[in-house]
Amino acid sequence: MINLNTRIDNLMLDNPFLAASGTCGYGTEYSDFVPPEKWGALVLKTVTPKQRDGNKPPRCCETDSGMLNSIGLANCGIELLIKEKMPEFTGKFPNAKPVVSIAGETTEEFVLLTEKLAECKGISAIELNFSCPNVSRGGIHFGADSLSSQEAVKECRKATQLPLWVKISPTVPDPVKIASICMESGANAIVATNTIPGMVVDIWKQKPVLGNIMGGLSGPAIFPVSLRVAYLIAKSIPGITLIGCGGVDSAEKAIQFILAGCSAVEVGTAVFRSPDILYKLIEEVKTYMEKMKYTNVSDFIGKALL
Amino acid sequence: MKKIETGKLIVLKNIATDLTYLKIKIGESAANFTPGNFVTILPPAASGKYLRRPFSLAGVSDGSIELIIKSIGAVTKSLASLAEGAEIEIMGPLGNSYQIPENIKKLWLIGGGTGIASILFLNSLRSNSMDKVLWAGKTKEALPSMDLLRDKQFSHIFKQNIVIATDDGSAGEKGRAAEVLEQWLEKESNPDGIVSCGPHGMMQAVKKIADDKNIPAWFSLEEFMACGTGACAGCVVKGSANSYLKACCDGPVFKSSEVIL
Repeated sequence: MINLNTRIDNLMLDNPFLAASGTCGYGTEYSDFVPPEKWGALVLKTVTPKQRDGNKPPRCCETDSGMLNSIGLANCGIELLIKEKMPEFTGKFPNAKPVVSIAGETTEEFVLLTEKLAECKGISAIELNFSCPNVSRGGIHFGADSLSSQEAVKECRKATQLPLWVKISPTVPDPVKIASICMESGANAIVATNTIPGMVVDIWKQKPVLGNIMGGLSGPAIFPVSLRVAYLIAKSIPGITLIGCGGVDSAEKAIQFILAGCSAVEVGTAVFRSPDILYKLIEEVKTYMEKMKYTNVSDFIGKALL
Repeated sequence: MKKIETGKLIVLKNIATDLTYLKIKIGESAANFTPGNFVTILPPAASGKYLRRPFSLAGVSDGSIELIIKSIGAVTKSLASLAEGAEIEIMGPLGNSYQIPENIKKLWLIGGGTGIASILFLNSLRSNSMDKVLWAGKTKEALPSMDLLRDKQFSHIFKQNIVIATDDGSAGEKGRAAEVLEQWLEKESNPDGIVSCGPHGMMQAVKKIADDKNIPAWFSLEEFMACGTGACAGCVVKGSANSYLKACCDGPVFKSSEVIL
């Protein structure tokens, strides 16, 4: 009997597939295609202390094997999330596991957001977004600085009992160091990784395609880059709880992340392509486990670490 | 309820240079679509593209949805070269619909290029004899021939009230869409409402005319989309309340007063 349960530190999930932040809205947008409780967990769109309009359009375009986005953390703000979005989501889907992604420009803002979430019922974990490339302050700059990361995770840890995950950028010079600092400061898991900064130019208009000029590259193009970062972290920090993220659009890629030491994977851009991809991922990973005679996901976590 | 389903391409016809009509059989759920709604299509493998592409419906008939697409990029080109019988994965209905109030009796519908799609659908369900449709294109080659426009196969969407116009006068009336609209307004009493969909510059010009003359107007806007369901906030357009609106779920149809073009 195959069991797809997986454990993210102290949090049990029914399966290792999570909808990545920014690709499943506030949880309800794709519910016609896949009931949200079918996902291992859903990481909601990042919220900030105040509502944000986001960046100037155009905000996204397709690139070879991927897409570029510069949404710019457009979001409803923490107050509306707590008052409306979360109650709506948990009311409709009481068995789903929502993870709230938060982003601040300073440690104080991260702490404020974490404290506010204590007012909210039904949250499975908090994901600290240390890796958005599309904002001028906070985001990727914050996460690249080990002192800022350390301080923010430490202070957020004091402010909540909920599991804290930290989503790191693949572009930081030393991801192992950042991951290790975050774990020592009280994080329960590291999410490796987020988008990679990039840009494209329209040769007829002779200007950058994106209104924000640059954006974050996601999709199949970034898979090997994210996998490398996950592998490096898993290899260097034995026992760490990792969640893979970046370019997963098949069970085969998800399995690669698991073999490289991840206990679960987040699926992002592939959800835009196939909102019902979860069913395929579950079937395919079961087939793999049958062939390999595994009964639990934990049977093959980190098997490829040399 | 939105659904992902695999339809079967039952008619594919080139109707002008780079314009293709597609009829995709999906069965009962075709009845769920209303004018203004769009679908996203999973790119055919041959296109090498990854993300779904949005297309407004040009009509619904016989358990099928109908599209008119322009071959511009890899996805539209590969769709236009599919063989009849091919399977196409569609997701929909997405977006809002045209909500034209009862008191709008005389409606002018201004479409440019493939922007005509949702206009044809809306026009097909209206029965006001004062309505008329302008289908504007750059040249004769960019639009269907009169023979095609009178072809019985398309009579449900190509109704008799369609007027053709070209920038160079090579077919139909001469002038850009907004210029022809101006001419109509000089000759006739104002319509009760205007609906428009087409290139951005065209809609800007039509909006200016409608706003100046205080004619209620609706615009169906097109943007690059990643999700099509309101999840990603990638397709925003500038709203008049100094905020961004999502073309995919706040629209694609907006009242003139709601948006800045």
